[in-house]
Amino acid sequence: MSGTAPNPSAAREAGPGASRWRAGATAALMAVGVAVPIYAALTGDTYLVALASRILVYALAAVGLNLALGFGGMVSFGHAMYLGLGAYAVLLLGASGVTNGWLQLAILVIVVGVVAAVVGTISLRTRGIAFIMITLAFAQLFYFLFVSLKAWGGDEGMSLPQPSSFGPFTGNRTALYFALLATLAAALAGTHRLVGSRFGLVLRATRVNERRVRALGTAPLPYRLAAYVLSALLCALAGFFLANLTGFVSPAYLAWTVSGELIVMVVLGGAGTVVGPVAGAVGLLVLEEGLKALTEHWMAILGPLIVLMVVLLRNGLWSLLPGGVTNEARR
Amino acid sequence: MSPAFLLTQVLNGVQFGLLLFLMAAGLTLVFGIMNFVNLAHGSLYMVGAYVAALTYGRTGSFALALVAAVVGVFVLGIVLDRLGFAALHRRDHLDQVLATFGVVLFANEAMRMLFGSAPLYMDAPAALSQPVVIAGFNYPAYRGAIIVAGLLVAVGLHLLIERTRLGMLIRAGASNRDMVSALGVNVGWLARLVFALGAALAGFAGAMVGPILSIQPGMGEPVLILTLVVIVVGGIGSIRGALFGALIVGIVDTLGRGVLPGLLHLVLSPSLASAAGPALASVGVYLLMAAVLAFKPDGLFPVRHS
Amino acid sequence: MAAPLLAVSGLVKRYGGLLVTDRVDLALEAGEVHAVIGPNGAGKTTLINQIAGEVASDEGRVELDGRDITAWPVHARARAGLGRSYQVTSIIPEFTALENVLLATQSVRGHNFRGWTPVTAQRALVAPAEQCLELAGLLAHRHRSAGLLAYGAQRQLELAMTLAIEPRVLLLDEPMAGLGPAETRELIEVLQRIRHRYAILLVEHDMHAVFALADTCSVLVYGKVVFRGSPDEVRRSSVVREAYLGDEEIAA
Repeated sequence: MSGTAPNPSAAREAGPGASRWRAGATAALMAVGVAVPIYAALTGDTYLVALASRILVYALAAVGLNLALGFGGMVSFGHAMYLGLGAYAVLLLGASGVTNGWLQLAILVIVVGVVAAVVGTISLRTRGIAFIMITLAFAQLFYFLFVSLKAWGGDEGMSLPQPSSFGPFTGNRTALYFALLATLAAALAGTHRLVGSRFGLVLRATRVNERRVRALGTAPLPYRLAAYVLSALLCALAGFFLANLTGFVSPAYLAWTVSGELIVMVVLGGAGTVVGPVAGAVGLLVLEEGLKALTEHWMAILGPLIVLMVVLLRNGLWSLLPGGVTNEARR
Repeated sequence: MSPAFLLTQVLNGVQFGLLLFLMAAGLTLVFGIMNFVNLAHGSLYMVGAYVAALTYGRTGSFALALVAAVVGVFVLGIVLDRLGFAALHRRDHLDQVLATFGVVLFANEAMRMLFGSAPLYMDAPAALSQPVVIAGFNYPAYRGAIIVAGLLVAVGLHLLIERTRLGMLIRAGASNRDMVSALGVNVGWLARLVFALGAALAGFAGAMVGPILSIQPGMGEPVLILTLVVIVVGGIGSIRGALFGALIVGIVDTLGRGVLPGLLHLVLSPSLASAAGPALASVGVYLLMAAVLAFKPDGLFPVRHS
Repeated sequence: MAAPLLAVSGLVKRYGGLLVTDRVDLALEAGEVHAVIGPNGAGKTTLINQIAGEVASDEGRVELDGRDITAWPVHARARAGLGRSYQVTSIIPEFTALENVLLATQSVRGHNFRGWTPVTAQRALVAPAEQCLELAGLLAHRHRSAGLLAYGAQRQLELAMTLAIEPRVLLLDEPMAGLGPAETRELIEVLQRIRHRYAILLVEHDMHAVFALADTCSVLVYGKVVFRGSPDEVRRSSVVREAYLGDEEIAA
């Protein structure tokens, strides 16, 4: 337990109509998401679309991580590995002749599902600090594995021979953008439903008091593992989009700092809130762009800002909006 | 594959393992006693390397460089603890990870601002620049010196922890945090001392690698992550676990890179071997970790918490 | 003769050289309230943890309805009919009172791999949950965050959750802990109303509650049952006075 939370129980009463704020903010985020490519088409601003696409990719990954970290209390410091696996799947499958996007996605789901199940099974045997360190180490395993694949670009990375093929939409950036936006919206809707379901209740209760969940007759491990795998799959999906958006894949996608940034997004937006991670992804990536424009040593500013976030913004941006069903990760 | 080559590889593995032990010893105590995840431990190592290289460059005295690195990072540890790391002990692990992640980003960038992105190089002291002859073959004296220094630190830590009052408190703290404060010991003071001691060891490790690695921003994190593997394999909070875990990881990693590709060429087709060799070699320690944890989730030498 | 509903025989727990539970035997029938009393540190909570399966026993057996459950994990025991409450209130603060109880009702109704329908929209789960809340006198508060309930109401919620897994045996670890006299009376009434449905093992410091509820008392000192008898016999026993000397007020 950390002792300095303003409200020690982390429970809040939802005032009448208060959740309208969050619904409104969600709608506004989505509206901006739809408006960006239209605005870009009118003005020819390609930079904006590229930035918005990147934000959407990381938002999707952060929504995925939030499922494990925010709702499940599993502090994974290795989720960039699933982002990377998703991206490398496009490269490796494309180069070996599997170019159909749907087929790639199907294989991706199976492979990442199996990898996440194995990694999760081993990692979830541990708790607390050890879980953080193990997930980090597993991510390094895949990082170095891809670095050592000299035929696939080694640590330099490699351009995709061709994008995933989706019939007439193949290589169409606008179609890709809207597919990504729709996937994110679906992920948010799914999370929203999941959180209040039987599964969600077990997952969220386990984060707070695993012992109690057992005593009530439920063994938490299968639910934790399922949430971990689901969260990995969302990250892999984000990686699939990332590779197709950039046309390029490299081990940098699964660098340990990316895992760290994903956590920052989740916490900045609000761990354990449904839409918070999207706000966190927007916040962090826009901040990074701003700092990069300011100085080449932008990380020297970003670092202290992250420390400040930990001190001042414990429940995230989303919790600054009044009300709604909240499930803050902090106790 | 000659016996001399194999022996060199084993000694290199031991040398690497002992360096990892210098890192792991401090970190594992901080985990064990303060329940604190400090990702910035690698930054302390980096600072130690920079301090040593700069001092050596100015004064030409290797001994002075070592002392400067150890003392400097010890003081830095106390300063960091006072500046806010101590306050993090009471936060949850997520906060600790995030805050120290921010510190890592800052530290790397700060080094880049101060000394540029280009790596610094540091020579081994003249007295250790010639190879020594061990059992009829040549071994670099400086690497030998790292082995000796690592073993001395291991013995020193063992004596400190098993034979002194401070060590008794550290041991008690690792297995039962509340008991130590119940004994009327100022836990804040004990924690700060342990943290600074761990920092000094990281600084020492950084100084020692100066002559064999390039010194650059970001050098700390690969070592940090391997150190985390060591700690998880050894068992969190256990010095003995850190030592054996470090030696196992060091030897497996070094032999994996040095010997495994050659071995694979003996049993696999050349093309397959050249593809699989480096891949396997680079992930060997992580597979080892996964295997250990699959059977012993608390590591090889778990500390019993009462 | 049929086996008792809960039978504990020769239960032992050691921590290093320390004997925390010393060959404890217990037998409980449905409708019976068996109180375990004793000074602080007597090992009462450890005993409950051993029966519930949170602490592994070094020796002895635990049988539920004739089945040996000694090696069963906690959740399997709970599903088989062992419901326990905690001395330290163990509710999920961010859930509403209803959601807390739903967590319990759903866990004994098949698996929870259902991720789409809101739990609160499932009558089959909500109805029994609301019954438990009503039983515990909390129905009016069902939509409030559990963390914001008054302490007394949280204790009632603790009980409601335990009842919601539809147990046959209740292991109640100091249900009255921290309650005021009025709240204690209320909780005693609740337990009086439901006692006929369960076999109840009651660990309690509040002697009013013990004497009002218990059919049998076991006095635990240093992990060992030193006296067993009716509440009246306990009141009169010199052994019990000695065990409690300077520790607790025993006169009712």
